[in-house]
Amino acid sequence: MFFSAKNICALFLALVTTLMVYQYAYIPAYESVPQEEIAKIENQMNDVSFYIKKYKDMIAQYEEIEPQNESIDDLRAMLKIWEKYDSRKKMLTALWISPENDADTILLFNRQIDEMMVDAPTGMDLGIELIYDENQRDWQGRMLLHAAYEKEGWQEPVISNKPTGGYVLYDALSGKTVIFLVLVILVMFWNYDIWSFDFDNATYKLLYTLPYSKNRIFAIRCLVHWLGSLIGVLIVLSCLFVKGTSVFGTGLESFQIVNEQALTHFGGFSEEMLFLGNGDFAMKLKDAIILRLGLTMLFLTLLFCVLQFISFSVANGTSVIITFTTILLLVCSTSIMGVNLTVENEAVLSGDMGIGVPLVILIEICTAIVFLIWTNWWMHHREV
Amino acid sequence: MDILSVKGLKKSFGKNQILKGIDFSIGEKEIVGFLGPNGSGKSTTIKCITGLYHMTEGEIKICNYNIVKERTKALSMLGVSIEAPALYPQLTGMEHLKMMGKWRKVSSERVREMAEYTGIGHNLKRRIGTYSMGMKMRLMLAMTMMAKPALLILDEPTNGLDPQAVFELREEMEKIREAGSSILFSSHQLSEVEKLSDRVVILNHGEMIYDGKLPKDIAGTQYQIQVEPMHQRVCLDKIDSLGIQNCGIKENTTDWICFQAESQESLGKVLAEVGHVSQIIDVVKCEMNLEEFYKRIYQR
Repeated sequence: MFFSAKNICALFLALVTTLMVYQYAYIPAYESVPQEEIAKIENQMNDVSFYIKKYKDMIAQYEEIEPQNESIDDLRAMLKIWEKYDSRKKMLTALWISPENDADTILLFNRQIDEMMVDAPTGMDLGIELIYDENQRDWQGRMLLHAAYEKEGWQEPVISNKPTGGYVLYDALSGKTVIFLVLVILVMFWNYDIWSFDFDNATYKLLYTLPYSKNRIFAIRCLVHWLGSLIGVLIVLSCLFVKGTSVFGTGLESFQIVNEQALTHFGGFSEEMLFLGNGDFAMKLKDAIILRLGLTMLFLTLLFCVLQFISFSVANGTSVIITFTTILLLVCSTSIMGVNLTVENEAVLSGDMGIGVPLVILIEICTAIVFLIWTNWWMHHREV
Repeated sequence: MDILSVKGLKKSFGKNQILKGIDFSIGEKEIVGFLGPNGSGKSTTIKCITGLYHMTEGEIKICNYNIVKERTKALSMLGVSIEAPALYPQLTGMEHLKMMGKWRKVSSERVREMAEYTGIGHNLKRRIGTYSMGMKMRLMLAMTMMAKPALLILDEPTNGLDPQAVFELREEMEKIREAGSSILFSSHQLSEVEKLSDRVVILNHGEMIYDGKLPKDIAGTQYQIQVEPMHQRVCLDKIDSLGIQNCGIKENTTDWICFQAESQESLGKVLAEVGHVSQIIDVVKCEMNLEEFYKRIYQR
């Protein structure tokens, strides 16, 4: 009865929603990148001019007051970087008008801008976020990507959010997208009545008087629902991948930045956040997708275990949905010891969550097992 | 061998003791009616027998399999229908039968046989939500009979049924008994219990107050004796002290007493004893039905 009309309709709706998200979110986001880049550069130009002027003034001041000061060389070096940055950015404004035609040049200029900072003098932090394009860790990430693409001999993408099959799959599994929410809702809709249905319709009398142990009944039902849910999720994700591939290709010949500390460290590491970037490395998109997919499946398994517990304890379909949604919202807005309980895969794998993947996996597995055992115990003891 | 054996069954919910020690058994091919007012513990007893409730104390065996220690074996001997038919609204009748056939590991031929048995015909292809109560009951009965259980338990099977459906159910139950199953069924329809049962078990306030034959099957003749109103109670005590069966005050009277005499000699003893205490105004021979019997039991 997992493959009921209700569940098939839910799967169909999820597929339609996913394809609509692809069409009306991912594609427009990709198509708007050139205009956004141009607008961003134009916005930055005022600041660039300001910083150039600032450095020139500082140099002039030093030359007047302390011409022998050691900082003058650093200031001059930084001024050169800013001037080069300014000229490259102005050229990029023209190139971004047709990025697919001028892809190689855009990539070259972006790389040159990033490589300028390699030899940048230390301590010259005024306006440096502009050149880093957010922060130093982001810049380091881009440098890692440049090196990875060069080493592998792959073409680096001009627009990072090109909705290829691989990219949309990777993004959907980040844990903070509409598609991820669709998957959560799908799992909830398929499983909210896993036990409450029998209490709503009094068919528990039929079920519990069958010549099978309650353990067996429990195991088979949970297994069928769990496997069915995971397969359904894979169907949705596969369709997304196929859609993206059919329009822009697989996009699997690319890299994403993942943090090694997050992958291997057991426990928290919030005090090491300053040095987190040192653990970043470029991972092939295919491997990064598998990693996110594994975490997603584990998270959905945890959701399933909690949901089946609520379904058994509340024993009424509508109440299950309300209870589960309330708990989910509460959990998403709560943090314990500085750790946000919302398990976003992106935050976990980048280390931003402050706890390592092994601990996340252990917590999720243990919590899932607790809820399963609790429900099974209750099934043996409940009298209705 | 007893198909069902219930010994010292007690059940409490917290401090509230619902069953206070029930003992009865059911033999092969026996139909036992289970009677009692609402709240007497009938459904609780049935749920303990079927394993839906955990008994506080006691022992229940089905075909010698202990319901606690050998639960799956015991349940394999049972066919159960408790209160309203428990059916999945989104499935058709045929899907229910196939599902039960798989669960009970019977052949597809048996499933077809049960499909015919329901008498629902082409309606088996429709969803349960469109069925009348009678159709649901027939389907439920077919499902419970799927694996040819040794014991069939029906908790208030006539609820919501029209007279025709009740009549058909009675016929089906007779056929089930002929096929070799025993039946335990509870009902508020005393006429149906009277027509169908070999024996009745009567509960009240969690205690068993009667386990025995129906009045029509009890040896002896029913009599009613009219005495002086002021001596009615004393006369009843006299008759009771003789060990006479089923004696009690006739309902809504102040001067009539009912009793069952196994022989003319018993009748003579009663008349002699009563005659010492009161003037005997009239003696009448009569038939006692289950309803009167039931009321008599509760009076005592």
